Amino acid sequence: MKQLLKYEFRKTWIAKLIVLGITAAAEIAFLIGVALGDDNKTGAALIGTSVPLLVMIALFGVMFIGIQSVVVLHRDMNTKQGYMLYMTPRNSYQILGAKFLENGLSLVLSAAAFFLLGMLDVTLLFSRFGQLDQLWEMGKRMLEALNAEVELNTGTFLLLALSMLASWLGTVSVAYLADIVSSALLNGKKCNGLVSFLFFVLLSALMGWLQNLLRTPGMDFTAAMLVQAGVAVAYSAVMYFLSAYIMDHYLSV
Amino acid sequence: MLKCENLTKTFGSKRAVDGVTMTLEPGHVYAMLGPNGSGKTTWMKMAAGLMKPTSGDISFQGSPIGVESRSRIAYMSTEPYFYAWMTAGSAGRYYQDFFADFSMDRYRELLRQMDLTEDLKTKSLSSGMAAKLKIALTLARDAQVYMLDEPFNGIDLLARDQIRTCILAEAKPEKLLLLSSHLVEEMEAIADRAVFIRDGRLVEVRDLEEMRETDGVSMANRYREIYGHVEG
Repeated sequence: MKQLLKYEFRKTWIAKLIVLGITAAAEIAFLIGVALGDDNKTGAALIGTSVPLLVMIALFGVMFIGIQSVVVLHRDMNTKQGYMLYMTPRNSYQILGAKFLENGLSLVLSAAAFFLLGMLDVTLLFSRFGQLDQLWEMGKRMLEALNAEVELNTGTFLLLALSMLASWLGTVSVAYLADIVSSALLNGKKCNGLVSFLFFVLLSALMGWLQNLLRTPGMDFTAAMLVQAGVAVAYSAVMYFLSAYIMDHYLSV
Repeated sequence: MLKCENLTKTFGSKRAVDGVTMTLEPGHVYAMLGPNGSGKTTWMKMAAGLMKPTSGDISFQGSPIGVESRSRIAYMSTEPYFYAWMTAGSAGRYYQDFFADFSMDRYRELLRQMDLTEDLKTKSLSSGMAAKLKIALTLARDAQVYMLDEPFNGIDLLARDQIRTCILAEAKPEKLLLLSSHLVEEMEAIADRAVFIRDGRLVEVRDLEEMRETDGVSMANRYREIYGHVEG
């Protein structure tokens, strides 16, 4: 498993480098802006551009890493490079397990890195300019849109991030299953792409439906976020076993 | 050692391998022969565990093809299959990471014999160099079965001599070698048994020495007899 994991990280490191590179560029622009100060025209422009850019990178960077792992799985099943993987003495549960683990770890680590970077930048802004009322208000309004009784603090942000991350992991595992069904069961069949896409949409909707079903109306924010994350993680586990079974019994590369 | 019963693989309506039943034994070098599209590659991929049969069974030492057989069977595909980021050196380390029977020293020796270096990027290799690299990786394993699909494809005469020498060095009583090639005369110098396949069906498995003695025909002539009307 250790070796499989090592090569899964190797296969996706370019995608991560791209995200890292863009983040570094935006962060440098932000730091220059902070150093120049908001009373300086260039400084204000740099802060004004880099802050929303960093927020976007944090959201889409994590998404991009998940999508990249689906692309790698697709390549491993549909190109000759898949021989490198499937001729090794490892079973489908191990092969797919390494992919799930790599994706999960990458998502958690990148989300944690973005969270820490965000905290550092907010602290820096606060210590440099002393007031963050606008930013704070914006965050508050965003959270209030999700839950009227929510209190804005670090814990709330962490819970929200955890729930979003788990849901994204669930979506990526549904994409894994849809791709495996497409490559193993529908390969060469008419409307393969359309059928597997509809399958993906259906299973994603099912996960959302289950999350809503278990999130009762009176539930507080913490419980609701935990339920949402729990359902997504359990759903990912089901997707993993189902995917590995299909891979083991039906996949030809 | 390698046994299949009624092995069939279909792609849509085409039967690439059609009810093949045979047993391949250790201590022999088999030449798997047949024109393009006769099912040789598909059969090998099923034996390597890369492809699932549509029906029938294939087993290695009595157990179905799977994780255990993949640790004992060294398969070389005819197509290049390296990851784009690999060099000859990292491809060797990849094999070392996954195959307990892989020897890095033997691999380096084979690379040297084939005039390849570890820093060569796999994506920039010519077809002949890529073929030599695949052979070096496969033969650096101390496997029980070696399956080489078209090992001489795109390789010049001198390199073919090198490869033939390397392959023959692996011909031992406890090992099974299975090679497919269109170069029938070339194969006659290596193999002692031949598997003739046509349209996915097994025509026959023959001991070449016995065939020469009883039928008075060489492998090449037998090939002409079986496939002459197909290819001619």
